[in-house]
Amino acid sequence: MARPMTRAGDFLLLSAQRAPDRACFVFGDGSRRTFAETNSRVNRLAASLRAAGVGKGHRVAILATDSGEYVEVMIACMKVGAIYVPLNNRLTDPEVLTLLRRAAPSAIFVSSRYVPLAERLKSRLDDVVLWGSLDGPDLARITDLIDAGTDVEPDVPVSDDDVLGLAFTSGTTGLPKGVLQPQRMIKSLFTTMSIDYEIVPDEFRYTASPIFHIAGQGMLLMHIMRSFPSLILPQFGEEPVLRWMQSGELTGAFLVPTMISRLLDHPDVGNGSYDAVRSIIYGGAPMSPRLLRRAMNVFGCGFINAFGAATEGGLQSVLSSAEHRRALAGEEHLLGSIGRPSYGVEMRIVDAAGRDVPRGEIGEIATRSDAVMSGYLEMPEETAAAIRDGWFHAGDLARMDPEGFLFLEGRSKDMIIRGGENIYPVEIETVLSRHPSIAHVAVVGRADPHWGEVVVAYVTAAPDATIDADELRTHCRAGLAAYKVPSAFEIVDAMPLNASGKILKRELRLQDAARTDQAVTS
Amino acid sequence: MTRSPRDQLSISLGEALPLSAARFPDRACFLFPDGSEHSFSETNSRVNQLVSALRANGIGRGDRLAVLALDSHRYVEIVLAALKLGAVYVPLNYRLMRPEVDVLLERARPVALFYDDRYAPLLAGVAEQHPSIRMFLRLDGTPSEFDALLETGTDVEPPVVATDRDLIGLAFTSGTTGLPKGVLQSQRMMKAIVNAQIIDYFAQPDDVRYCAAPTFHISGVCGLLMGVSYGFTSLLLPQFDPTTVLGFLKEDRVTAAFLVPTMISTVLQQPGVADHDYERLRLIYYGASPMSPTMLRRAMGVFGCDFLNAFGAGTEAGLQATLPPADHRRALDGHPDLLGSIGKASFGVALRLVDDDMNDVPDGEVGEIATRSDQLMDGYLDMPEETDRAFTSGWFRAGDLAYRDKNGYLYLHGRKKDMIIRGGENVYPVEIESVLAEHPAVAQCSVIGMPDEHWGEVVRAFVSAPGWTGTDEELAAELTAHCTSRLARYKVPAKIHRLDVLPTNASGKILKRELRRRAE
Repeated sequence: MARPMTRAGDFLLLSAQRAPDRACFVFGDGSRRTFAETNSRVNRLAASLRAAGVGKGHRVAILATDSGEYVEVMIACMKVGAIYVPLNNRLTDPEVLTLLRRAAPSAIFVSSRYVPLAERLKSRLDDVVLWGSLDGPDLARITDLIDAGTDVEPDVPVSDDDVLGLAFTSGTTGLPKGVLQPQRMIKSLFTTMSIDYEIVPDEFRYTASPIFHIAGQGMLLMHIMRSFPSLILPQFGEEPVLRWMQSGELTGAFLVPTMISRLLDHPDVGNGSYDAVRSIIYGGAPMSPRLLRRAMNVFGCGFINAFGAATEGGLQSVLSSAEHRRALAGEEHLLGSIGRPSYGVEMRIVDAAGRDVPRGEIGEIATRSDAVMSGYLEMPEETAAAIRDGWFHAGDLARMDPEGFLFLEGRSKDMIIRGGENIYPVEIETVLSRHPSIAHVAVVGRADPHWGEVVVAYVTAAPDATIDADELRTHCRAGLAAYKVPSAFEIVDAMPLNASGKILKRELRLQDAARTDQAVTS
Repeated sequence: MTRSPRDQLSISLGEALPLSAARFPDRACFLFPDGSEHSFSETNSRVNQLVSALRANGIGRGDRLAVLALDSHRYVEIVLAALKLGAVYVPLNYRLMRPEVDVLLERARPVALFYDDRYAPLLAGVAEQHPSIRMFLRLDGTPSEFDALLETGTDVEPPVVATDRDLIGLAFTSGTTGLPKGVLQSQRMMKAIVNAQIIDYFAQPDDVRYCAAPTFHISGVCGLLMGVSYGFTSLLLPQFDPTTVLGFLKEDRVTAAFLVPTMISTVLQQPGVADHDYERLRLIYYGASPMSPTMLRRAMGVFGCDFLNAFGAGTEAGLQATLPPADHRRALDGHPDLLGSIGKASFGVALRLVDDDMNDVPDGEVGEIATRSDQLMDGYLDMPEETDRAFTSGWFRAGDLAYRDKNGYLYLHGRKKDMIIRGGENVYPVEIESVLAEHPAVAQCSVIGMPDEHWGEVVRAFVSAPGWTGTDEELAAELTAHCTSRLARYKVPAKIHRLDVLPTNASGKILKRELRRRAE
C-alpha cells in the first residue's frame, strides 16, 4: 500500500484551495498574481516540461534574477519530481559551465540578462532538451510553455527521500560541492522556519536573499505554504523596499545587516511610519548593538537572527525577538549571539575527536535534524567528512554560554595548529582590528618545520596610518596569550575578496605559500 | 529494525522532551491543580527512569503498554517512555464496560497494564484472563506502585533507538457501526500532528495551555505532546472540571484552551464568570460539535479571545480542517451560517470530497471526505480489507460526508455508513434527524435504513418522547406530518418507532447498529 503523504509540491495547491483569490506574488509595480493563477501556471508548465521529456529525477537548472517565474519553475519541478538546480547568478562563464557539467540538466531556464551566456554554452552542453527563458523573447519562452500545457495536477509520487534540490555551495574554502536536498529536508526547513520565525497568519513579507540561495527559496516557499503573499523584486534596492515598508501593507522582511544599514541611511527613512511591520529577520552576520538600536527605534518591530549552514543543514539556531528585547534591556552581549538551537535541532559543540567540549570552550558545531542534506553529489569523501556518526558538521566553530546561547568563532578550516595548540584566527583578528592603524586584518597559518604551523597576520592600513609590526606585537601581547601572537605581519594594499565581499583565506594562504617559497629560493 | 545513517540524523519524536529539557530545564512542563509543577528536566528524568525500569523488566521495542486511567503526568510519562523505547501505548477509554475492555486487551495483547485505583474493581482478574500481561501496576495513590517502579530505574539518557517508522500508538475507534478497529499510529504520524498543531493552533513560547480532551483520545495526547515539543506549559487535570478550569483562567494563568462546546457552556454558567478580564487568554479552540452563534457571542463577550473550530478523524487522520478566528468574527458580523462549517483543510492536508468511484463531487453536492497528509495512520490492526477500503488510490476516507459551498467552506453531512439508498436516491439521516429534533415532543431521535425488496432500503426513525401523553401511533402520525411539511417525500420515514430511551455507547453516541437489530 502506497502511504499517502504530503509532498513539498502540494503546498501551493493547498493554499490555492484555501485562498484562491489571495495574492501569491506582489510585484514591484503593485501588480499581483493569485494563488489560483500561480498554481494553474505551475501545472501547465509542469505538463510542458513532461511533454519535453523532463520528468522525475531530471535536473532543471535556473540562472536568473528573482521573479515569480523562478518560483514557478521550482514548484513545477517539485510537482513532477524533477530536481531544481538554482545557480548563483554572479558566476563567470567557466564557473557556470563547470557547475552545469556536474549537474547535467535536461532543461535550463535563464532570465534575459543571461541569454547571451546561454547561447555561448549551448554548444558545450549536449543533453539539454529544453532551453527556456523566464522573461524576454529568446529561447523557449516560459509564457509559451505555460500556455501550451493543461491545468491538471501532475500527482507524481514523491517520497521524503527523493531529491528535490541540487544546490552548489559557494566554496570559499574549496571547489563548490553539489548539495543533494531531499523532500524531507525541504518540508522540514519551511515548517521549522514557519515556527521559529514567529510567523502569524495573514502576513505579507519580502525576502532580500536571492532565490538562488536557500535562505531566499526557503522563505518564499514558507510564505506560500502559509498562504500569504510575497513581495518579489528583481533584486534588493533601498528605494523600493523602504517604500514598501512604509506602505502599511508589508508585515515583515528578511534582510542582511548591511541592507538594514543602507535603509536607515536613506533620506526618506524618517518620512513614513512602519506600523504594519511585525518583524525583521536577518542573517549572515551579527548586528552591532548600535545598528540594532537604531533599527528598532526606527522600525519599531521584532528582530530575529537566523543562523545555519542552511544549504546543507537547514536552520540551526535562532535568536528570537524576545531575546533581542532582553539584549536591549541590558544584556547586550546577546546581540553578538547567533541564538540557541532551533526547533527540531539537536546541537553539540565538539572537538576533533567528536567529544563534547566543556561549556564555554570553542568547538565545532554539530547538528542533527530532519533538515540535513542527503550528501554531496558524487563526493563520498566530502560527504563522510560532513556527516559523521549521525551528525552534520559544517565546519563552523562556536562556543556556548551557560544559558545555551551560541557565539560564532570562525571556521574550522581556518583553525591553526601551532605546536599542538589550536589557535582560532577570529580571536586574533578581533584584537588586531581594535588597533587604530589597521583597516582590515586576516589571520592565516603558514607551514613551519618546527611548529607545524605559525600564525601570520595580513593587514591593510587605515587611511593616513603607518603600520609598525612591533607596536602590533605589543598590542596583541596585551590581549592574547603569547602563543597566539603572530610570528609575522604582512602588510598588503588589499585583501583578496569573493563576490560577496568575504575575505578569501584560501587565496591568502596560497599567496602566502608562494611568497614563502620565493623567500626561501631568493 | 536497524537505524540507517538517515535515521541517525533524524530527530525522533521521543527526543522532543530531552531537547526541551536541555533548552528550558526549569520551565514548567506540567502544571497541576494545586499549583505545583514538574519542570521539563524533572519530567525527562522521570521518563528516563521509567525507560530504564521497563527495560530491566524485559519491556522494550514493539511491546504494548495498556493504560486505563484518568489524566495525569504518569500517564503522559508512559507515552513519553514508549516514544523513547519504540514501544506502543494502548489507551483505553475509561467509560468502557469490562467485556469491552476484554475484547480490546485480547486484540492488543499488552505486556503491561497501568490503571488508576478507581478502575481496580473493573479490572479484577484481568491479568489472569490475559496472560500476555506480566506487569499490572497502579498509577495513582501514595505510595504509587508506578513511582516505586520509577525508583528502580536510573536517570540516564537512553540511546536513540526509535525512528519515525516505529509505531507509538494502538488506539481503538469507538465503533458505533461495527466492532472497534485497532488504529496503528506511527511516530511519524504523531510528529506530523504535533507540528501541524503548532502552526494551526498558533503556539507561542509563553503559552500555558489546557486541553480538556482526555489523554486516551488523540486530541488529548497530542495536545500534551505539542507542549512538550514546542516547550510550553500544559495544565494537567485528572478530568475536566469547570470550577478548577475557571479558577486558573481567572488567575490569568492560561493562554489557550481546548474545550468541547458543552464544556464552554458549563464554564459560562459558573457564577462570576463574567467578572474578569481574561487578558492572558488568547485562544479557545473546540471540536466535536459546532458552537451556536448565541453561545459564541456570549463566550467572546466574556473571554474576549479568538475562537477556532478543529475537525478531524483524529485517531486515523489527525487534524483535517479548521475554521479560524477570522471566520468566527465574520460569523458574528453577518454570516452566522459559518459557525455550522468545519472550515477549510488545515496545514499540510490535501482534502477532497469524492463519490464511490473516487471522483470529485461538484461544489454544493455531498461527497465523502478524503484526505492525504503526513498525519495518517498506518492502517487497522489485523484488518487488511478494512485498511485497503480506507486507503483508496492513496487517499484516506473515514466515512465522513460533507459538501463544500461556493466560498470553499465545508459543511458536515453525516456518516457514509448511515447513508440510506432508497430507490436509487441518497438519503442522509442527518437531515431527517435535524427535522425530527425540531419537534418539541422529541427528546432523542435516530434514523436508519432497513432492507426492502422494492426500494432497496426504506427510511425508519426511532424517537424517544418522554413528555408525549398520546399513543405511539398518534406520535408517529404527528411526526410524519411534521416531516412531510419540511422534507421531500422520499426522505419522510416509512415508519417511526417510539422507545423509552435510545441505546447509546460509552461516549453517548446513539448506536444505530443496535437500532437495526431491534428493527429486524
